[in-house]
Amino acid sequence: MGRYTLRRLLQLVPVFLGTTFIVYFLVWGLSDDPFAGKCGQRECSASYVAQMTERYNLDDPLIVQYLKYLGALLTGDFGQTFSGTEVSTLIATAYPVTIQLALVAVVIEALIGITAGVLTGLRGRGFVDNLVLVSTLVLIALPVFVTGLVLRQVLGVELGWIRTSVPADPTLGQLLVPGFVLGSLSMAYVARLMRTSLVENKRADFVRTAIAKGLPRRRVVGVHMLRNSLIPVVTFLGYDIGALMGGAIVTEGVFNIRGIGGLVFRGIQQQDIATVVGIVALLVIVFLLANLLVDLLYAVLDPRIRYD
Amino acid sequence: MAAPLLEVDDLRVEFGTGPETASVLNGVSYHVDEGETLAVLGESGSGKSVTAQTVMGILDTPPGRITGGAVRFRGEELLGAAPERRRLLRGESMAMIFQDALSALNPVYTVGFQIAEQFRFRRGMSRRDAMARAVEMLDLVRIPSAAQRVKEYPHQFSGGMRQRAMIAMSLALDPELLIADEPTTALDVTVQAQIMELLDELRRERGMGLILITHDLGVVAEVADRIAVMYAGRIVEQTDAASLYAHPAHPYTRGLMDSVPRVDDLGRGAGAPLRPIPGLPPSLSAIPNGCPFHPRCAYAVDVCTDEVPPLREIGAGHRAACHFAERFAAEGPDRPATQEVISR
Amino acid sequence: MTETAPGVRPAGAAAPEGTGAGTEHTGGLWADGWAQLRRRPLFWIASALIGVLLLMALFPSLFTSVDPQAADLALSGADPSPDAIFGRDLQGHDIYARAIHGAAPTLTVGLLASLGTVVLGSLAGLAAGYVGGWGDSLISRFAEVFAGLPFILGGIVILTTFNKPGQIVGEVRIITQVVLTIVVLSWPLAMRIMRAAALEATQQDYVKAARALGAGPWRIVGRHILPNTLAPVLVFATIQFGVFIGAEATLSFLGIGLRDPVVSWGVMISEAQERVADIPQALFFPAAFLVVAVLAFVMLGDAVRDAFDPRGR
Repeated sequence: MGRYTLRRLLQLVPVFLGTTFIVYFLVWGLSDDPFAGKCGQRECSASYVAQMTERYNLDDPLIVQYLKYLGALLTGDFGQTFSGTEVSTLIATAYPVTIQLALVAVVIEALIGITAGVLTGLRGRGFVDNLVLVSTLVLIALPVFVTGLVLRQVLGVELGWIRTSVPADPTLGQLLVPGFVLGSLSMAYVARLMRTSLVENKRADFVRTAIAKGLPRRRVVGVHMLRNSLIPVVTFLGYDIGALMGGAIVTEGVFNIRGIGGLVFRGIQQQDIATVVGIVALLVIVFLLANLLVDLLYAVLDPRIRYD
Repeated sequence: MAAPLLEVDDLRVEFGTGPETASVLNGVSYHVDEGETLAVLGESGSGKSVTAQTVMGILDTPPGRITGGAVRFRGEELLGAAPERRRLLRGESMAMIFQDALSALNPVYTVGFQIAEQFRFRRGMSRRDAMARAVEMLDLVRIPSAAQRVKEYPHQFSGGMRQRAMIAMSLALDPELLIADEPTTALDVTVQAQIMELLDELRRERGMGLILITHDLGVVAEVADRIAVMYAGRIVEQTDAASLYAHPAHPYTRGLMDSVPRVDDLGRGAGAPLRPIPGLPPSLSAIPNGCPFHPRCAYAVDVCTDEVPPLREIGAGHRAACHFAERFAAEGPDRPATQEVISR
Repeated sequence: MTETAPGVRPAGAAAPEGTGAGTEHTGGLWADGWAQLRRRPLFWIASALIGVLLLMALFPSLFTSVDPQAADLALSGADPSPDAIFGRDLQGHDIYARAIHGAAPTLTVGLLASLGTVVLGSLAGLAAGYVGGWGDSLISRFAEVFAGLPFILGGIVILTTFNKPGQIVGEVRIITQVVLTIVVLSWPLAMRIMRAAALEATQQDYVKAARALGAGPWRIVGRHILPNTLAPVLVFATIQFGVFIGAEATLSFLGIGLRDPVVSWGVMISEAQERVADIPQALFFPAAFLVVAVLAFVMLGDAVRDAFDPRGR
């Protein structure tokens, strides 16, 4: 296991370098005048340009700029925005709410998705099965921003149950609806995965053995069927946490949540390059590490998997 | 005489519905006494396993459907019994071991956990006590260093060891009847013999009834007291092991014996040539009229295509379902039977 | 736009063998699958919906004669009426006419993006799975670089780099950009599916046997590996068609994808969101079209997968 982890960590290095370089190249390298529009209507003053050129090493070739940036990043220095704010400060303010939102979303999708999957998987064909099948189809077909806009409109404007704009330091309750929206797509996948997995395991030989041993029905279902069926579902949920922590741009936008998604979106629109590259680097690391953790977790859940 | 340990009486099972209905069991009857080994012999699809699953109450319904007959354990009718009553019989009174121990054991739990489970949930033992008993069970089936291996997962066991663990699991609650469904088919020949020996020994020690389901005549010869031969969901011949070998009364039984090499042939250099049974078992959704074996039978005459031969007594404890059973039995196994036998 | 849902037609070609087969499973995989497919109401519903959408995209004049760009500010936000059955948006456009004309760009992006993803991903996946070793590692790492970028984040970075926010861009250029962005960010998915399928196929005894008999790599890939990998990839492509329609809408919604003068459902929703409280119909109708279109492709993909994956039966 140790060697496997090490090898996977080593494999992460080129992926991390590749991803960050692409983003760095896109935002710096392809921009013909990084100072366009930075100083309002006027041209930027020579001293400002000199200061910024110095700060971002703009006189160096792109690859050297990138390496210098990377060096600073590895010592924990995310750099400064054009206006001189530390990017790390911005991240520290915005990230907690994004993490909270991601966790709320995953908990909601796990609860609803697994329940729906178990209900249909155990019962087999029938009304509940069709109901879940159709609702998962609709959820998959609904783009997140449509779900978000509709729920904001209905629950927020028409019924007045929620605030259309989530405050800066939201309570759990205020994150419920945005979390539901964010997790809605995965919820459908979780339900389907759970159902397929249960249906497969229902007919498995080891389940027949458990019945032949005369175990109580609850034990056969709970311990032998569910536990085995949950393995792929838990894995999916793990990957999803990694993805949601970096990808809530739309949901945060719809509900006006001041998280990392909004930060990076504004950063891109304002051409604030240091913010964008810094956040992308962070998100990529989180995403890759989450995937690695899930793969390791998989080996714990399924003893047949051996990494060496 | 007291009721036999297990009695299967005219059991009928169908699979599917409508025009796709397959009659998997068409009136199967057999019985097992305490301490006795009954071997159920037949090709795949002959209904051996379905009978066993019906006895255990683990047949998947649907697609299966029990349409008639009875299963009696010590005289108690089971097919109509409450599900909870049947569950309590499983493991306690009757247990089953399966062909493929790798898929029959849950891959995500240790072998010990799966054995201990029964002690915990049927005997109310604590985790610790149950685990100690699991080690004893592994010892009983002669798994070396059982105390360590109890913590391992099924995939870490070799095929033979896995089947031993499966046996240990089935014996945990000390059942009176053990059903072994092709217990050695998936194993190497050398391991096969060890497992059979172990099963036979455990049966003798515990006075269990044993139903040994197999398609392998060689396995049967060593251990069976009585043998039931199944074909297309019917018993076609049933007798004690010695008479079956000496006086096979059904052409199908003869066919089975002729299609395996016998060790005593090898000593003589060129022995009797192998004669495989021609053709394939019938589709269970379209069993031929008359004797179901007639399309493959070298001796079939008109009556075979018209009339279903009943399973009838042709000697002491010897029953066969062939119109000409007596003549075949009289012939013995070695002289190749000819058309003459029947026309005489 | 004359060809869609590439996964379905080959099955149709095998129909004669499957006809009347009903319960028998004597045909090949394709014939069997088609026989299964024909019995599913979901398949027919999805196909009918896709048929209507195609008509809409190819011949919008069958549905409306109103110019989608004709705006009458005096009628801004008008409720549904016989004059404009879905009502009018903020600019006074006829929402119905715009929704009909929105089909073509939306479906074009969906089609081109799924074709591109499948072609690029499959080639990479085949190469990785068949070559193995170093080539596999190289391609896999390369794919991970793109898979490591969250989709929307990557889309925003790429599209804003090439078009400054609010910049006016030509129709063809922006459609090409959106398609390429989706392909660049999505091909690793198709690559993984193809790679897994190719790896599995290379391990099959009949492929080993073919190799031992001296079959060349092209023959092995073409005759033995491709046919066995086709089904999962085509199912993926069908479902992805729907997903990409949603992706296009999302990018347009964020103001970085398609934009005026292109009319797509995503563009309409994006325009409508600011005034959703006053003019809900401007959001509702394009959203409904969008959801139905995505649903149709996802359903079709579902039905095809169930029919062609024997394990699912």
